[in-house]
Amino acid sequence: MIINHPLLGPRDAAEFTYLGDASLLARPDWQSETAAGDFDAWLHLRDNPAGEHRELWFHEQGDRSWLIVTRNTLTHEITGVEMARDGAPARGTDT
Amino acid sequence: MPEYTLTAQSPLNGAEETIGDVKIAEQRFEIVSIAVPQGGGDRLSAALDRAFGLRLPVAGGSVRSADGSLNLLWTAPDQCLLLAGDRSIDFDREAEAALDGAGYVTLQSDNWAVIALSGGDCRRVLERLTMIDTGAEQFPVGSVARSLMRHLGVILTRTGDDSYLLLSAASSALSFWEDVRHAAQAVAALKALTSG
Amino acid sequence: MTGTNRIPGGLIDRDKPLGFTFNGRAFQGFAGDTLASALIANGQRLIGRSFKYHRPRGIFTAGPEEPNALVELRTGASQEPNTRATTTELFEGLNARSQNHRGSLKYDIMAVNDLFARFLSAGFYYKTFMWPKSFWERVYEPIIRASAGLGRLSMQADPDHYDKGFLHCDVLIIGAGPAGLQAALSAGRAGVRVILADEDFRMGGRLNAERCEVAGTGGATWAAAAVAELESMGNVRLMTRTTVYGVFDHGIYGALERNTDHLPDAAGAPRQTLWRIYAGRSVLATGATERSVAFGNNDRPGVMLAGAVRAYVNRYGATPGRRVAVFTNNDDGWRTARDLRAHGIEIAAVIDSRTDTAPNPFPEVKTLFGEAVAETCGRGGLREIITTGGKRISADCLAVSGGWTPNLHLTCHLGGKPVWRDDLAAFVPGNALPPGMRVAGAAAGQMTLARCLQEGDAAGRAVAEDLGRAAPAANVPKATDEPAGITALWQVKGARGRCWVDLQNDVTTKDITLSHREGFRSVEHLKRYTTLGMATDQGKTSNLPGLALMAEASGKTIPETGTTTFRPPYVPVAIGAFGAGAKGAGFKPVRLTPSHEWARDRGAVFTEAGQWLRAQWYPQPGETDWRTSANREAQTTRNAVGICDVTTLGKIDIKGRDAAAFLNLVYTNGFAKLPVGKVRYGLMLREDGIVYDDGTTSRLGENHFVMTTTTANAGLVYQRLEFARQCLAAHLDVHLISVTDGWAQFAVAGPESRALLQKIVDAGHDISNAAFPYMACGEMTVCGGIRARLFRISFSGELAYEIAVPARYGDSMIRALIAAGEPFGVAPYGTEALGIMRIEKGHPVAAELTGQTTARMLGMARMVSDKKDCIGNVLSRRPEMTAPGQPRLMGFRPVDRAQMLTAGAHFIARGAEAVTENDQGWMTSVAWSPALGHSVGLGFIARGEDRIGEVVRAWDGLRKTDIEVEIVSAHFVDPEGERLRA
Repeated sequence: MIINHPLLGPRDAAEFTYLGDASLLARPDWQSETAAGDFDAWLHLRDNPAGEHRELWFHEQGDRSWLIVTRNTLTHEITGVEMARDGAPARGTDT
Repeated sequence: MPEYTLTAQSPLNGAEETIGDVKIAEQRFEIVSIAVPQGGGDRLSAALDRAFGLRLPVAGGSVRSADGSLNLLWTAPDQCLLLAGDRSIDFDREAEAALDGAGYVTLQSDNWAVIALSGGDCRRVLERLTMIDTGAEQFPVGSVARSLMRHLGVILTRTGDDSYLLLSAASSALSFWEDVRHAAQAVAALKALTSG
Repeated sequence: MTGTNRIPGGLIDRDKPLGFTFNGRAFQGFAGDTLASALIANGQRLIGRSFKYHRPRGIFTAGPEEPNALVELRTGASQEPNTRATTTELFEGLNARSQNHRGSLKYDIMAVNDLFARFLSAGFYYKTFMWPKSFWERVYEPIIRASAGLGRLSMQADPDHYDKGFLHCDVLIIGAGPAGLQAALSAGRAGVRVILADEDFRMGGRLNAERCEVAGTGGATWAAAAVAELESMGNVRLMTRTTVYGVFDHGIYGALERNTDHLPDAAGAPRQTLWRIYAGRSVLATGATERSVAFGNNDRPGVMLAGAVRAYVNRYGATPGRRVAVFTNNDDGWRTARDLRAHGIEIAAVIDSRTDTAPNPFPEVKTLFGEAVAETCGRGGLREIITTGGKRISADCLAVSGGWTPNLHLTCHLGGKPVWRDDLAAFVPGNALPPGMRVAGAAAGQMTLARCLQEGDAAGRAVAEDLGRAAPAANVPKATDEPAGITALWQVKGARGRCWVDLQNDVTTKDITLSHREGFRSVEHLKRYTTLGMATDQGKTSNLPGLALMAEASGKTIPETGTTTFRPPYVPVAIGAFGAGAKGAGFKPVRLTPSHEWARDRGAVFTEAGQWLRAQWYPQPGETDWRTSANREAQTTRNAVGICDVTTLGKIDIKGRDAAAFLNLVYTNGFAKLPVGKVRYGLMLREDGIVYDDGTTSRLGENHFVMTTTTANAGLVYQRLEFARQCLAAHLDVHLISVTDGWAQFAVAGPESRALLQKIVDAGHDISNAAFPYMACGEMTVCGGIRARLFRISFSGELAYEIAVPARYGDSMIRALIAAGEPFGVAPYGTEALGIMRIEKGHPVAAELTGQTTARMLGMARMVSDKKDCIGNVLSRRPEMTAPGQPRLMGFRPVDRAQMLTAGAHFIARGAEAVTENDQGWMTSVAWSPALGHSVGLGFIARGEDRIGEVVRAWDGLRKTDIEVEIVSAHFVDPEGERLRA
């Protein structure tokens, strides 16, 4: 499989490690009243689409960037690759 | 007068070998990583220019100083690796001072084993090692790529028409050397078969 | 001996004779021969015995689709079974032997199987060997094992080595016949980056086997000229002896290049190279494979495919027979008659099953229309054929053509399905091709020469246009289209005797009928029930006839019956090629510590810790037991001083304005207020609240930290830190880089450790207890100005430090430390002593961090700050994780001090039954403690913190022990930590 890195061009998937659904980027607010349920859902509940899937890949053997890859789970076609930094929800406050 | 003195060794002990039409040899540099502070790319580029006559490289590229002794390789969106010839082990402190806080400098000299690969058949050797397209047109002089080579992470850069540097973790230097040597031997042995 | 069946002409080099042996007999061939063509030239018809019935078999084809002529090639460790004689290039000294017979090839004892054929039909083993039950292991199985399988292995390690590589191109052209060569020319002339691969040792495909004309010259001559032009192009790479065996996602192709199989001596070169080819586009120009017809005893030596006969007489200058009959259902079979005639070989008859063809083009040749071959005669080799009309015709070779099947396998590797063409009586590629692939020539169902050249040209130019390159004007060399009409014929009605479909697995039309009758009617069931298509030839000549016959039996059309899925590899690939470079030491890289050489010379025994080799213990002369060495090392460390190389622990350099804030996010405890020059122990949780790593982080500057991780988790921690940095807290200015390899780090531990270090650290750096207390860190110099870092941390529980110097000084440093420690009786210690000491102190390691461990279980609940966010914070407070009665890490010692504890034992109350309901926890780590003189253990037990002094049982069902143990503090040695702070 080939992942078209936004900065480096096409690279073999062997250079990458897969983490999972891109929803992992939207980490809930730890101080919310519903935090426990939010974190549980965020960590454990997933759709399992037969089709387009947004997922996180780590370019472990390359530039160590985290990437969001849009991949079709049926055809394996990859239609989008972006830097996770760019796709991550903004965090305004220090923890 | 200190009671004990320490002597330095390199990961490959200066190994050097000519195999067929390629030569592989350990090279030694002082190496530092330079991280780009958030929002500080321009400031760092200016500081690199003042201090060393360099600037931040583009993704997949490198920048060399006028006298050729400094080679700045792009490794990540906010990080690059500076290879310095003819410097001392305190080069990181020298660089840190010269950049005056514009970049985060970390000593990396002994993290890496460096192999110089040169000769007419070097691309034939590289195609047995790396998934990166090292075609003469596709990977021009100055290109940098970090990838996997068998089971080792390797930084590859082209320094001349037929010369490349390969960098890999110092602790697995012997395995690294064997992998490169093995590929060079395969190329040489196969060439001997067809020419014989 | 030049060979009784040699004829003039061909592409062999008669100036280069080659000697070879078959079954011990010496023969001669020429350069350019295959083993098969040389055997044919020498009149050798009998080549092997069939798989099940041990029937005599000869050469059937001239290519990789060969089902019969499988030989054992080479001797000794290089011996390889099931080698197709038809694709084996002849070399001097080649040694081949026939397979699958007991006794000689000519008088195979197992031929008796053929007499019992009616009991050995498809699936017979599902209905037999059942009674009596006791016979299975003692009688049936040994017999079956002895007679099963095809060919024998040498049973020695493969002496060859293989290689792997990666190639890139704009277009991969698969097959160098007329379509592939023309595609390469058209694309190559436009400057496209081309790889052209062909499985043969000589490019040209059927051009080398046929009498045909291209651009006014012979086909083979044109092919050679095309190759020469391609060789001169810098943007074209030609690969012969290379089979593209698979299509994978995103334009990745797998190819196997045979580097030395055709040479008597590999001379150190890799035998084969497995290539991964990255090609945005490909042109599949793999041609077509001929198929036979099912008629009585159609498997006799001498029965061959008609196109193969042409290959032998045209390309190899060898005739398979002196009186050849031709049996065909299509126009192409007639070309064999034409070529035989041109070579002056007697044609016994041409039998065309069709009734609607043109009158006899060879008046002097006996021709029969509307008839078929019903059966053949001749034990050991063809002697005579009998037609459906009852005519007996003597012949020593029968050339059969049932039509040509496009080689479309690669179009299906990504799930595409082929479509049926009635006019060809064959499948052609469907619409859902692998992305970027075009099909040209016979592989696409364009069976004639001029069309192949046109299609190849069109494909090559289309690729050039895709890439925005100016394609040269169409320049298709002149050729004609030969006639290619066909009327399907799968089996001869009125055939007498068994009719073979899959020659290699001995599957006949009767087996297909049986399969249908017993309800195995889908092609998937047909394949597995009869084993049709499951031999090493993968059914290349038998898949289509098999499913056509099943369709006939079911009363369905062929498209309705469907076809089995094609998957890589297209040809068998040696496991050694897939594992290239991974044999022996090549299996994985080895990471060595800076003190490795010194340790090795000192006689250390090493252990693998991930990819690292670490010294496990350092036996001294006279020590024969590891425990003796490890206990000595631990005691020496506790009583004097010990040194351990700890370079392997991950070290991550962290810099940035927000580095402290970042550490607060990834660690459970606070780091923002850690003073410069101090070290703090940190705990890391997963988001689900489970502990996954721990280590110490030192603050060397306002914006500079160095984090350590466990050896095994270094990579994983780095990955998670980068995720936090880039994805969860991208607004923070923090940067990471591994410095694990760059610093040689040694633990110096024991009451004399300070004294030792004072001989190493330069004067001017005060490392007294006051100036450098427990958990201090700092940069200093050693041995006359060498830069170093010193950390006062202790895993052993003794007064201890870790000293780090740049790794270039590591070897020198261990020697200096040992020399400096001599007066104190220093001992180097390995991972065993390290383990003993940390168990004595109750430090958790991987054995305790099982993936189910929480901070609470470790007694570290207070380390998880509730005043700040951190990874794992929220879910660590889940009710299940905080409910009373949780397991707690405690120490255990045997009530009877002489007993030895075992890890893995479970804790059960005294008097309770050893069942799951009574399980209270388990022992995670044990050691015999030299400090205490008895066995100690660590483990998790429910509410352990409230049960100190209680006695329970450690029950071990595996080792059959049941020991009473007392629950104690996990800190067996120096629980107050006085020695640490000395």
